[in-house]
Amino acid sequence: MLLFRLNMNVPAELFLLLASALLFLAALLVFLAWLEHKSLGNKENLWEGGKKPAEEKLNEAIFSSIGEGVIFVNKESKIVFFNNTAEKLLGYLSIEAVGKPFDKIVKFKDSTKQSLGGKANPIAFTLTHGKSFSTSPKVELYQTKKNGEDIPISLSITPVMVDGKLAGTVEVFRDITEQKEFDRLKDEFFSIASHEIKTPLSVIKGNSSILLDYFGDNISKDISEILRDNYEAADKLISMVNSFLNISSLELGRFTFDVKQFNLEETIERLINYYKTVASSKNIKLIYKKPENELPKIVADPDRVDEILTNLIGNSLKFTEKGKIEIQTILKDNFVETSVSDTGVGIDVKSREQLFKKFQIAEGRVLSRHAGGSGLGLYVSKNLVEKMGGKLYLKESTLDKGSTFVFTLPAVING
Amino acid sequence: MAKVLLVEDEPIVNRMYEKALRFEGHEVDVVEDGEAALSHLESFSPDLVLLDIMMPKMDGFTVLSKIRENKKYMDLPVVILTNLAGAEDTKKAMSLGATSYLVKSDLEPSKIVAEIEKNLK
Repeated sequence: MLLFRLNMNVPAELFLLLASALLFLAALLVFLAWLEHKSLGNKENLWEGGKKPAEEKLNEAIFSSIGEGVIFVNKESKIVFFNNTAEKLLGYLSIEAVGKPFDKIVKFKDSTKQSLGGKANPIAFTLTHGKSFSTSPKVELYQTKKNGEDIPISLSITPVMVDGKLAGTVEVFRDITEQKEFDRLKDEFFSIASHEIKTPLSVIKGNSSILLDYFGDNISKDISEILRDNYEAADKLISMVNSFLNISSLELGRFTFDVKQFNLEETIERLINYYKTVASSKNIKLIYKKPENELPKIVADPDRVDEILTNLIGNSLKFTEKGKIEIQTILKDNFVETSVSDTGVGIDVKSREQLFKKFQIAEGRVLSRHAGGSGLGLYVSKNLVEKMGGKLYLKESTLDKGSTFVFTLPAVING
Repeated sequence: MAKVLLVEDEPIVNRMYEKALRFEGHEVDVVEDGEAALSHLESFSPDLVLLDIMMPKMDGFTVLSKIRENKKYMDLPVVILTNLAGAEDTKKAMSLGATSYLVKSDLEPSKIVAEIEKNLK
């Protein structure tokens, strides 16, 4: 009896299920059809009177009204299109510009206001090589207006391909005068504020040292500890402010380099001597491994090189508890390559990407205990090395095994 | 013991250096602007001048050149103590006849005392 009922019931339930599924499907189809119809209707209604203007006319109208300057130059180097914003920014009318060779109208200067004529004109570059070109915070450009005034611009110049063939190139650009002025004010404020912070900090540090030097024997252990802490706290803040100042002058381009030919090995040996005491107090060996052949002199600013090496050795000392720190130099492709290797905690993969950014201190449980400093040292060092024509990078790092940082600087090669 | 004319417009800074020098047994006269520096040069007749650059009324460069204009002070040690760390400023001060050039930041009072004593010989 039970079996029978079950047999009867199952198909009935299945039928019901099937029926409702079909009903749902039908409803869905109707809904989709309605949606399709609605969107079709919408597309038609996008245009006034339901009629779309001719493609060509429409495109021209769009490009004309774009808020960025747009200039199209054809393969024969003639200006074909010059939009409203380009007119406004450069002071030429479209009818003046169109048909002219581009270099009569579109004139660029580099960040030092040197004219980029002939092949150096980025449009000429794009037309010849079929490659894009764009400005970045590192590549600044000026464009010259009809009245001779130069305006700082951000731009991209892109080859235009039609049916796989180069048809010309399009420049899209914008005036960044206001943005540059804002950046300048910000940097200046930063630089002044840093100076104003440094003086009182030096006083806290200096007065603490005076008290310790002249009254250290007559004060209690607690008071002397407080003074020492004040001294160290102020010292730390001062070095942080110094890094800030370095950064702002680096970014303002105010950093002056006193470039000379000099012996890098002498600098390394002097610094090793200087750090010997700290290293041996931590039971770490600090070694300079000379190259087999005599190392040529390098061309760089000795004070900056000092700063870079101090930063790298200081970092290694900070993150190494046992073992050694080894400095090595070799000559490679007209550059002297200096490596600083340690047997320290290493840097985890996640932190590596962040390493050279501003305000970064290695993350992770292992490192955070040791972390100190401003998080600006590597950022500044990398910038300094690059400004002197070299590179600075993390060559390798293994957790709990150690890290190797490398920087290169141009060597003096005779003959 | 030496007589040091300290020219520095920031009171918290000049009080610090004044103490550091006094505790080492030197006699210190503190002035806070360039004009006062020149008048105290006569009345105090120091063995050495510790001179700031950025000051009200008359800056350190001007004070330095005025000191050197007077034959009497041709050999008077003038140590520049400033926040200006640029190579240009250093060159300018040295060409005007500064005896040595110190950048304030990171300089502890003891180092400044040492530098002064070095230049007193």
